[in-house]
Amino acid sequence: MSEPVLALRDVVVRAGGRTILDATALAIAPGEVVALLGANGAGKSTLLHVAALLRRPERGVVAIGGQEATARNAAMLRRSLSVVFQAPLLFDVSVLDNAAAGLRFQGLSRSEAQRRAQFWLQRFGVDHLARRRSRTLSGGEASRVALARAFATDPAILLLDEPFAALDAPTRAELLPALRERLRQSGAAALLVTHDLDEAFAFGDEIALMQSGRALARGAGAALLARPPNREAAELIGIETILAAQIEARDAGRLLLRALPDGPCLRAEVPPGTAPRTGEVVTVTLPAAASRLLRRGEPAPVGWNRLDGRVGAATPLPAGTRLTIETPAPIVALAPWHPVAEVWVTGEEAAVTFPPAAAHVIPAER
Amino acid sequence: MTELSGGLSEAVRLLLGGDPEVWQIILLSLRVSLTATVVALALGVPAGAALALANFPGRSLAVAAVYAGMGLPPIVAGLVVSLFLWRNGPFGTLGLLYTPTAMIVAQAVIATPVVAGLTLAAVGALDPRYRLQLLALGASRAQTVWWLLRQARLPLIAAVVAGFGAVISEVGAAMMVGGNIKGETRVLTTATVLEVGRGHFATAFALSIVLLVVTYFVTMTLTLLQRRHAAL
Repeated sequence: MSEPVLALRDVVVRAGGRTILDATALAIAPGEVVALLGANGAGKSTLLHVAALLRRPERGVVAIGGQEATARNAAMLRRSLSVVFQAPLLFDVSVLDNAAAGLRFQGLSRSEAQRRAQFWLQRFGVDHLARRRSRTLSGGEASRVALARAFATDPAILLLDEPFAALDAPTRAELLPALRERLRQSGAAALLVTHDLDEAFAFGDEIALMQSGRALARGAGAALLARPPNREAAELIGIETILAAQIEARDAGRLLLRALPDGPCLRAEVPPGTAPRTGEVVTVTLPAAASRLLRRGEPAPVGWNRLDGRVGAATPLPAGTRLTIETPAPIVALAPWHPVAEVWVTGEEAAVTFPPAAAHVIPAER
Repeated sequence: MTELSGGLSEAVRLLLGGDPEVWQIILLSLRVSLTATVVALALGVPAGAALALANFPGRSLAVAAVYAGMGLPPIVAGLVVSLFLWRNGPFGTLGLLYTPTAMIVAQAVIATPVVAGLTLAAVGALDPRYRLQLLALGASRAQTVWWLLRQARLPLIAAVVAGFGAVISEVGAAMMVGGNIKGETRVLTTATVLEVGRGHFATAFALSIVLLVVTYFVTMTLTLLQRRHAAL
């Protein structure tokens, strides 16, 4: 395996008597694109500042390209990374001079720096603005210039601190794939800090989850959704149905569980590498998109769980309607959007059905 | 009211009539105050930038001193500079007292805290992430300071205007270290005081109007510069 382009080991950061990063470890391989997802205040931005060598941790090691950062070599190591902050932070000079700034600092001649900057402005579709003053740009244009500036120095890794947070949804929807494509072409690795679940899924080959200064889990978005390693990770990845359940019986690879305190009963698969025992209390997670909704009397597919109840809260979403089905334990499901409106009325009888594989069992920590 | 109308016509006559004595006073006022402003910029901008960006023991004390210095009464600055330049003072042998150079020194003492304080405020008001962005782009310390000052250029022009305004209009220090010697150290403000003392209110008023016009043109030029940058 090649040397990680960025590695953090046991990094601890304290501020105002509080620990805001705690023994955080993170490694990013060359060309790897990782989204760092966490709530506000989880320590994501601090981690990014530490990774960018803009903040020295109280403890721990940061290595860029396999080289351990020190106060002496920080300036030199910073040359192999680029940082894009939440605001574009353009300087009050021309767009071209902004995009060329990093190259100029590295000692390139003005003409060579501008030539390379122009190339990246063109790649982000803003080369026609090169002569404009940066403060006359729209938010989307400024973000593109900031990205061009970050790519212009040919970094091994881009560190992105919620670069799209201030943009409107259409601009974001345009820029995110553009950024992914440029990353793919350039072969640069990237770490994107975000609190937006959709953005994390759309951007990262992998998603790293973070809470209260600690790294919780890391993996492909779909894998985290299917098998979150712990309750906190399940919540962060957007799973709303998280039940405490007791193992009633176990046969072959299947578990029979009873949601606490009083049902319903459901079947789940034994998670690989675990040996849950009968009587043990575990956590069961079920992503909303894994369930299907059934009308009263409608049969469930053979071998699937079926939990009957009534329609509770209904929230319209662009992709459909988010429904809570009040079985003895509330189950959140998604009724996908359909051209012929499927109306689910609060209070009506309904059932949710899902295959045993969709319910993920997290054994209690021992 | 005769002083007012008389003063106005006298002012027009002084300005347009090309009275050599008045023009000499105007030019000396500009030379002294503009030079003092340049000196204040050379000292105050780096000092203000350092206070805004660096962290060192005693920084808050230094900041407080600069802000207090912004309100330094010109007469105090004049007195201190006088004591230094006095024949028996530490720099007495230079023989600078009652020369335009002494006035420049005193006015620079007045303007430097003004420029430093406004630079400190201007750089301090920048989004702190600009500095991180510059560091992340690989800027050296000097490049970082230079780019941040450029980013704060508009409020810095205000610092220039404020510094110049503080010294062109002051009378205490100019009088004390310059001595208001006719043809040598007489500037617009000290000349005005003299004319009032003589009871020549119309002339004094005319000199005041001249002072206003001169100040107006200099600050106007700087403001236009600022506008031009803002509009680009």
